[in-house]
Amino acid sequence: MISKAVFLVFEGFRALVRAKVPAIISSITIFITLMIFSIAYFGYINLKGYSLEFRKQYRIDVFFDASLDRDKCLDIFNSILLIDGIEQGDFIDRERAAKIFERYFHKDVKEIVGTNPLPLGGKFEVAPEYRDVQIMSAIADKIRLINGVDLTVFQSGLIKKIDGFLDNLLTLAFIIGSAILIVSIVMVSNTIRLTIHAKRGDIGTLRLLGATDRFIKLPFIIEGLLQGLGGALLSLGTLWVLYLLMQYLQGYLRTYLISPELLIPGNVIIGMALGLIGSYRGISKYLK
Amino acid sequence: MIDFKNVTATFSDNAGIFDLTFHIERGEIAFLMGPTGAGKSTVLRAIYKDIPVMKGRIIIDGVDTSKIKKRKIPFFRRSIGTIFQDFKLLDDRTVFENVALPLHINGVPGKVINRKVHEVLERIGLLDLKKERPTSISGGEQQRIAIARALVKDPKVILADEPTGNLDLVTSDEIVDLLESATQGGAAVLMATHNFPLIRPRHKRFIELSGGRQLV
Repeated sequence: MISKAVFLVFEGFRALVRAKVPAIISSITIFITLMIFSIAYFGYINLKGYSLEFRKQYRIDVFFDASLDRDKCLDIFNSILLIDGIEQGDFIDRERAAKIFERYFHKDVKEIVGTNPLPLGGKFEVAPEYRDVQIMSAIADKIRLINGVDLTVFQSGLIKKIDGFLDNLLTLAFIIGSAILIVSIVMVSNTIRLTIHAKRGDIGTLRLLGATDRFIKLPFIIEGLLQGLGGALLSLGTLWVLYLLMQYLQGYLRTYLISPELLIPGNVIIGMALGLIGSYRGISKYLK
Repeated sequence: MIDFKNVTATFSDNAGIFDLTFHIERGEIAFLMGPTGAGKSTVLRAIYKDIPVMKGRIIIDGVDTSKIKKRKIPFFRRSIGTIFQDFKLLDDRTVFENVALPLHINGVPGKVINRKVHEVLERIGLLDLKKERPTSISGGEQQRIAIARALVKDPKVILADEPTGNLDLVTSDEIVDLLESATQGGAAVLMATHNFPLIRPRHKRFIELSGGRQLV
């Protein structure tokens, strides 16, 4: 049994060496697929990273009733801080409000109006898991119901747009990724089928000598796995060069890099899985 | 050992073999005679279940082949040594690897394979060619390698389909000698041939076919 297994594994290696051109084509197909996946994943984690960075700025601005004094406003401010999802807050008194006004409009509000009419308020940061337009709307509604709160504002339109853009991008990436995966599997299986077709005479002889389908299939499957491994190693080599380049450019571009602990096993597993599925599909179609 | 009982096996164009009955004993060699298209190859293919039998029964070493399930056919074939007219050697393997192939299929351990292949190659006098590829040796040598491949697993039944097809008389005679020597180990040998002058001097049993039917 062990001797047969060793023989079949050896046959898989041999088949790879014998059919160099189809093997190279399959490995290159898997390499291209893995490169696209890796680059797409790189794009995804960067998009996600930037999106999280951007979402850090998501906040709810609250304006208190202009008739309330500072102490009463502080009480309301503290009660808002106790609401689920509010991470921290920044109390804004009339003086700070006037400074903010001046920063935006480059004019002193007292000079324009003669007095400071700006209401007291607060900026509230939302916890990361609450940074979603619907959840933030619910929090804002809750704040609005508090007695003494005049107005709550958050960038719901912008957040909606960003969330929608990210969702569309992820859906598109999923569709493209699935299409690439299918094309890759079809190409690998067709390449294996070409090899099998070229060896149909040998397969017939093996059958007449008493070889089972499993005995015939296994070397092709091992060949597929090796082609997958070849494609994975090729992609890892290329990604390593890109990784070094990105590390060098890290000073100029701020990017999130995929950790090698994830990239190496991920590429090897996906590459070998592509080779395995492709070869199994190819050989199964032929040896029905 | 090989028992045909009223066997009919036909192809879609109604060609084939019809109502064949014969018996070959253990350690016996018999020759299937007849012109091209007489049904000689069909007899052999029916034995190793490459074509279905419509009527009758084929019993090989006590096993009724009609009762062998499809998934068990490979295991049944392992008990038969088959020699093909076109040799069916694998060109991308050496002579040694070609002969060793049935033993690998049978799951024989590597050391035993090594010993058996050397023994059989020595027996047929082609040990020196063990590292050669089939494409670099003569037709006669290729046929002897094909015989070695059939003999190496010590089969109880050996089927040879026109093994002397395109070979000269001397080489052909050597091939038949080799097959005859296999009967000494108890194997039943059935050889299809249309070369009557080659086998006539041997005074062995003939099964003569014409149009798929047995001539009495």
